[in-house]
Amino acid sequence: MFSNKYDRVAGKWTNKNYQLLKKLGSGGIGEIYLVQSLDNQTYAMKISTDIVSITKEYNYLKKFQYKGVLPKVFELDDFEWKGTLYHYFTMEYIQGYTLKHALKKNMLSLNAKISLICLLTKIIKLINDAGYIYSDLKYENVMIDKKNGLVRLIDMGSITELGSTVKEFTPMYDRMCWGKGNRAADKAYQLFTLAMLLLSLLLGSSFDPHSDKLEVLLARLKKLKLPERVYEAIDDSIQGQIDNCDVFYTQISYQGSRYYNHNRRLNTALNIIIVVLVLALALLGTVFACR
Amino acid sequence: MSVRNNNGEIKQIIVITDGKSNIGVNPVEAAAKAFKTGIVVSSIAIIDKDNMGDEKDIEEVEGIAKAGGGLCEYTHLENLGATMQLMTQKTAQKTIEQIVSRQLKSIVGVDMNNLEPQSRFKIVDFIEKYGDSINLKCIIALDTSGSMKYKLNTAKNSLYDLLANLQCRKGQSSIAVISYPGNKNELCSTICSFTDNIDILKSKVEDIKSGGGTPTGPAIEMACELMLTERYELLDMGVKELPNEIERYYV
Repeated sequence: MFSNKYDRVAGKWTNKNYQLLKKLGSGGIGEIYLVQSLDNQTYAMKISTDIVSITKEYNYLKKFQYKGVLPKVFELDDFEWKGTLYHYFTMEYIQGYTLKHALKKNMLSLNAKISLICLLTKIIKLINDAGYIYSDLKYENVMIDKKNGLVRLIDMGSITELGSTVKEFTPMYDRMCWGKGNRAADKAYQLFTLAMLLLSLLLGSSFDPHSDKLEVLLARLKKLKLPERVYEAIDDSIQGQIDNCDVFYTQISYQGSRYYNHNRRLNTALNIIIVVLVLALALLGTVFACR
Repeated sequence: MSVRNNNGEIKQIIVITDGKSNIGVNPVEAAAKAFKTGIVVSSIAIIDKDNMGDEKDIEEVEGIAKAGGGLCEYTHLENLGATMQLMTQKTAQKTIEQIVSRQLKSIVGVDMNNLEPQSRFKIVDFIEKYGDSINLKCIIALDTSGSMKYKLNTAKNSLYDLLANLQCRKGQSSIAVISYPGNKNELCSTICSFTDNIDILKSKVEDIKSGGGTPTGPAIEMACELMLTERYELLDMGVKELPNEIERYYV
């Protein structure tokens, strides 16, 4: 939309002035820019011509920001540019990278992957408990906040009230595309998206519902020899048998992250000690027997 | 049924095609006529690797949506079902937005753009809720010309997907299907008139075969007629099949 980095935006209602620094990305309804206010603060600014969508998104961001898991939002305002009315809101500029980037660079260990999904499950649960689902869960919408060490969800455009219909989705995470149900906005739909995200993280690749088969993917997952509970959590969620974030959370975190590896290491250590003890006893035995 | 439902409804025609029309009236003019009677006409062009659509095709597909007050999308065959669903719901939302904005202007004297941002929340909330609960009537005009031969099966499945998804809405949704060219050398035929029952839709759509030219314009005209006369068809059906119902409502 804008090309010149010295373009300025002046809010129609708040009279706030910003200078556009660079484009950060574009989403379904608009574009996001890095901007600087007159007092040299940087913000991220979402700009769109779609008044309903942008008002809705601003509203949801405000609603869920008390937990610090979404970017902070500031003002919602309009500005005119070349005869067109644009709507914008400013939000906190998060320094970090999206999950997609992290995955491409192969930055995450198995533990990190499972802990990350655990955190995400907690965030999603907050949204579910408030009566909504976050239907367009995907790598690009999960951001790792480097500065504060937090996992953040960005883009609230897909928040949908429980009991209505999903309108924004990505085929890889959409149960209907995989033939596992419809697009009713229910909690099982939400768990499907979470399970697909985890599945894809663990297998280290993305899928296409038109060329991949869920059975094959699940078989590949089984070969990873993860704790049975993690496999079951993913399988059950995909089959629509889990509709509760808490259940998913306990199942993947149980032997999941730290506990699991910790345990294995402990076992190895114990085994070595036992072997050493047995050998020592045997040695002592032989020594005594010889006497 | 819609005969006695006065909640208002959104009427929409979605034209699905993979090429330019070559028989009958100009589809852009037909779409403009439909729009004048309160029907929104949207269009979906199916593209594939070999066929990204040449300029004339694109011009026509976009022209139909523009004249019909609807939306235009290009999609790969695999995503047809999802595209139709989003399009149907977006159209409902957009139509309601326009109605609400007009109402606002007549009541408060300003449209939404001129309303202070903080006051927009309630209106946006209303639009979203209403968009999901208003009744939808959607006619799919499906290109069944020769070039659709290998795409027809997926297209049929995406019709079932569409209806299944619309059933998740709070409001009633029904769809009808017109094929062009039609059966028995007709330019176009009504394959299935309005239904909200997937089994009925399946049984009727199953037999569609491909072959022939692309009479897009006549298909839009037929869809228009079906949308406007459906009321009477329902009445006729009632007389034959539901005499008691009819008595209750029309005596």
